[in-house]
Amino acid sequence: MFGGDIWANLINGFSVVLTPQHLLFVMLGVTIGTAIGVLPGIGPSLTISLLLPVTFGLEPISAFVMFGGIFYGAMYGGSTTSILVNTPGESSSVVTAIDGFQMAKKGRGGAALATAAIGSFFAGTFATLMLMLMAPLLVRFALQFGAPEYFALMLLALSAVTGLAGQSAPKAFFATLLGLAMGMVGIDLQTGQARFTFGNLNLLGGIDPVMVAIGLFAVGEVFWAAGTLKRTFEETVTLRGSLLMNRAEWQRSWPAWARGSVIGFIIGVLPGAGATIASFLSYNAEQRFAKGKHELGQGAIEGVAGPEAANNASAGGALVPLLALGIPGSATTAVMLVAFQIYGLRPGPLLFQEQGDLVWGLIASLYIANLALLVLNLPMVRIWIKLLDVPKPVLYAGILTFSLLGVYADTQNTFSMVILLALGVLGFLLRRYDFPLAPVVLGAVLGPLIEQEYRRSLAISVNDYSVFFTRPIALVLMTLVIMSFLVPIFNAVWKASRRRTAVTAGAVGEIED
Amino acid sequence: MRAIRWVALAIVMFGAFYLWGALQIRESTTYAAVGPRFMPNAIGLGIVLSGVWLFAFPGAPPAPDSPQAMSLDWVSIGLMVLLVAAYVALFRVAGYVLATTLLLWGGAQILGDRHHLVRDGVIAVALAVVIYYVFSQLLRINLPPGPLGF
Repeated sequence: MFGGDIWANLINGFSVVLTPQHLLFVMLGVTIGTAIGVLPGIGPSLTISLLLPVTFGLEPISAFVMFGGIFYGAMYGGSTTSILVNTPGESSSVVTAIDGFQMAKKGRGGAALATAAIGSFFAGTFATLMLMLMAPLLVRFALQFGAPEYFALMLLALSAVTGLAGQSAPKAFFATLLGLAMGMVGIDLQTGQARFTFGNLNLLGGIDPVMVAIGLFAVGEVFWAAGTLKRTFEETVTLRGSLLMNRAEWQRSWPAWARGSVIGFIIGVLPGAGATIASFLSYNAEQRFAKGKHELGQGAIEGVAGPEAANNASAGGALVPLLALGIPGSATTAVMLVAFQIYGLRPGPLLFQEQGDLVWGLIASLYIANLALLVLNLPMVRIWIKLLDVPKPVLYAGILTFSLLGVYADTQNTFSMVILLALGVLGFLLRRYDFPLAPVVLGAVLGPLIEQEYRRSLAISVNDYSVFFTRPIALVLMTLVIMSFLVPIFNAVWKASRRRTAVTAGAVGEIED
Repeated sequence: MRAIRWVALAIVMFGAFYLWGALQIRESTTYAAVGPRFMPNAIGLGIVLSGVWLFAFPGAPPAPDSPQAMSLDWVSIGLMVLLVAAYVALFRVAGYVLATTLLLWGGAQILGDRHHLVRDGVIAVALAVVIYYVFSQLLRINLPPGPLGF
């Protein structure tokens, strides 16, 4: 089943996916993915959330190869907007805009698009290869996991999110807890008690995490656009010249792609960090190692090549813990976990054994998706640029319409639209006060699971709490959890105390708070 | 006091409300040590703590050019919220196509598309009709027909 059979499994995966129907869904996925990548304000987690009610009637494999294509495609498409409009198409392409837009102004926009697309292909293929090699190893290890290990692992995923998301630890901590709090609403599966329903029958079924994702990301974004759209000015550069890189640009891109791929994959596997942090870390690496580091900020090709490779590699990396352990580390993989749940599937070690065709079909489809995306994003880039001509007010009104439609189609209930409106206002407020949104979605998905594993652990040990600290793997994981909570606290206290010493030293100029 | 400290206070109050909500959960009298109240209590406590933490360490004030410091068009935001509320209220009464046309057209106007009243109207009607037929005919997901039958 494992190990040396990887190649046999992969060939099997290709044979599953290379049918007209499945190929059609791969193509559909990469096309949608690129489109939403190019359009600012719509990301992969939101798109997959909106598509869930529609895909319910499909075979799981069709749905998942499409989601995989959307996830990868969004990472490709995001760079186009960053380079030509100086507005990132995705948050993971924020840093790309710095040097990419400068390159476009100098007439090297074509080369910037080329290095982004080819680097994305290189990184995406590398990450898929690593996913294929690493996931089965992790699965073999995870087969020994019981409830206490899964509990500790999910707690670790949440605490890592808290430690890594955003600038402010208390804000990330609150965002995670808010998601967990939403996950508690509804009937408690173990005892049948209603929780936080306040007598409202519509709340008995709980708040669907998909709705949380749509409300926070889509509806919140529309409210945000209402508040800002008339006050922002966009400077667009038309694409001039060829889409070919010259010799020097190739030579400078290669090392950046390689660094970005490795950084991106590692960050992707770690829970909580995700594509945006991967792209920033890659940019930092370029500032240190790139040949043209003194040009960074004024249109150095490494500043595009590295981060764009990194965000693609992180997408492949994020699929490792999702598929092998059933634990999502980002908003997009959290929504994909919900998709698995809708189909009655549980990602994790057993998925590899029981649904080999699905898992390997998905992995094989990612290789195909990468190839398709390279074609879609390089020779055909001029078509995608046209998407940017869609008037923003119409675009956002459309997003709002599809959000409300998605939620209604899923529940056949207008009350769910009321909750969606409330979540949209919440998303707007969280964004205004700079709270990270992904941990909320992650918390809403993981909340019920984490509680289940916690209670299951204590049922196994007959209410002996030492179960979390006496099993070796659980002990290691719990130690990591405790460390990840203590580090930001120490950090904050240390910073505060240093600030106080700074005051006594008379360096008042630096204290703004 | 800075706005973020008010947010922190609101978080503390929300945590207290959540803990009160947890008290309303009936604890079952079964064997398990961990009942349905345990996790909600832990989460509520955590929320209160996160609010206190944020109050104590609110971080540096937002940079003048950041989205947090930007002055917002509150009228448009309020109109947008009202539009969605009206949409929900009209959804069953007016039917999907009518309500959605209003949402799309009204939304585009609020978002600042004042010079394209007719074009947006055409887009709104077309999109609403297409969605209605794709969902009710092809996907067999029911959308409210309204008094006009669509």
